[in-house]
Amino acid sequence: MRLVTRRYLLELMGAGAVLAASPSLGPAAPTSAPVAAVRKSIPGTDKTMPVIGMGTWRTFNVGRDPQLREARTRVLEAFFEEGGGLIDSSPMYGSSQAVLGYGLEQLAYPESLFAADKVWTRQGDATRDQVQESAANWGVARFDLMQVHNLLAWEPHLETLQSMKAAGEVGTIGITSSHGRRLEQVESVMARYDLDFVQLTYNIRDRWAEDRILPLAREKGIGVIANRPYQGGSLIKGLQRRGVKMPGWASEMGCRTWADFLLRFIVSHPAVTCAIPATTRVKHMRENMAAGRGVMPDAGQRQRMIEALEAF
Amino acid sequence: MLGPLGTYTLRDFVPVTPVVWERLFERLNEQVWPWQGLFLVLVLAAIWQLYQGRSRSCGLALAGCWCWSAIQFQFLLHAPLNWAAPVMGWGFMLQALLVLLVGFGGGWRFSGGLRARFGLSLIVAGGVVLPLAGPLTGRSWAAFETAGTAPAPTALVTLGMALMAQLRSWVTGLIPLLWLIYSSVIWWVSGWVPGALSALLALVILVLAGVHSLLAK
Repeated sequence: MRLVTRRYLLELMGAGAVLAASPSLGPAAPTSAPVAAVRKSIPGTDKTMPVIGMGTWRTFNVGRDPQLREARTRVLEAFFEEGGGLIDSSPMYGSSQAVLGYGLEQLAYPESLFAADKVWTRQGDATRDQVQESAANWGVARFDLMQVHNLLAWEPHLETLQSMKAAGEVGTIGITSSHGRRLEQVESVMARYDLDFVQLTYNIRDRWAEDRILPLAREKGIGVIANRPYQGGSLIKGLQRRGVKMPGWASEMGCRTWADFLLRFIVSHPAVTCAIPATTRVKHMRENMAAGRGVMPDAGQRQRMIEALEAF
Repeated sequence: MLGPLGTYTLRDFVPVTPVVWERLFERLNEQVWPWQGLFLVLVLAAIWQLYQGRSRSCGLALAGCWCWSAIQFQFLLHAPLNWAAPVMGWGFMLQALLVLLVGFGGGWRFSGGLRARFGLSLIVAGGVVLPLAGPLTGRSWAAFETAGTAPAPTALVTLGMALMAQLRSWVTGLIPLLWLIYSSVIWWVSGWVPGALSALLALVILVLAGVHSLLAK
């Protein structure tokens, strides 16, 4: 049984404040993590997920290297120990799917896993084949979310994914974009199709989605997955290289690291369901996951965060 | 405002982390041990045969190295990491064929002159300098890149040999150069300067040799 400490109560209150601030947020659900993680609703379901997920681009592409596969399994283990849920991958990411499958098997497929992958092929009639191949790599029976990667051959893929969802072969469906590419088309597909998720680049520096995409997502009840939360790592590295210290007031929001600061900015946006930072290190994974707990910045604090970063 | 595209960096086009790329060469050495020694001897034999004017045997020896690198590096190790690696592997096989055809066409014969000296500098860079630069700049000895097995040293040596040989052998320069550019991008992103400079070095030497050849006419 968990001991109720002052810190635990404060963190629960913080999570409650975020939930109250946003109609798109669901109730906090029990978690195996040491303290309660902030969770948001999974569109089209009565379930919730933690606001910090995990990406696998580059970081899990280690091939058949046994030493590095073990190292990535430890990262995965830390993710689940911290109450992690959504993991995102793609057939484009080299061996990442297979490495995930290896790690998940070692960890006996934790129950909190929310498996998200993508269809990435120009062949519009190959949707099912690729989904099955990806599921075999992961070692899962079905995906909780299947997305069309970077809108590649999106029309036939989306059509097939819709029928797969109706048949219960995938849980939810969506589309993805990154680096602010093809946002007009993302917006158009969101408006015309019945999507559960949209994945795009959103971070404290790249906020193109704020004008139209994020409001549209809220309006239509589409979940948003934010990729490139650290601009592929360059945002944090740039801050560290310049020796920039985190503003003192950031600790009021529970920020202990720059990772914390940057992730809290993203997931505190009412339209964002979760962010998917990627890492190769257990320490960084735990830092990432810490950003999904406790007090989240309000609109005023978010503006202050933007201004603080603009100074550098 | 709908998004600008200015957030791409070279890093976004490299599908592996620096540690994985470094480990790739350690694993290559583990996998082929002790045969990298034999293929180094084959490269040296190819250079000697070129100097002796034995074009066919030179082509055979060098083609063997490219086939070996295609199989061991591209198809077996690199392919799981990059969906484009099998294409690169077939590119290496094509390179082996070109090297062989040039050999049977008499193209691997020593030409001499300043161009050959430029070629020798690339052979030294690929056979000695680049492999030693790894461990001397902090990379692991286990990741030592040997000419004849590891692609970048093999590419540099091949370019050097083409400069030393008849002009028709220059047809074998394109694929090594493309590999060096790809490899340099990865090392640039990974922060290993000698590896990152290998394509630039090759390009500078090739341009100098090309200019010299034009002026000589």
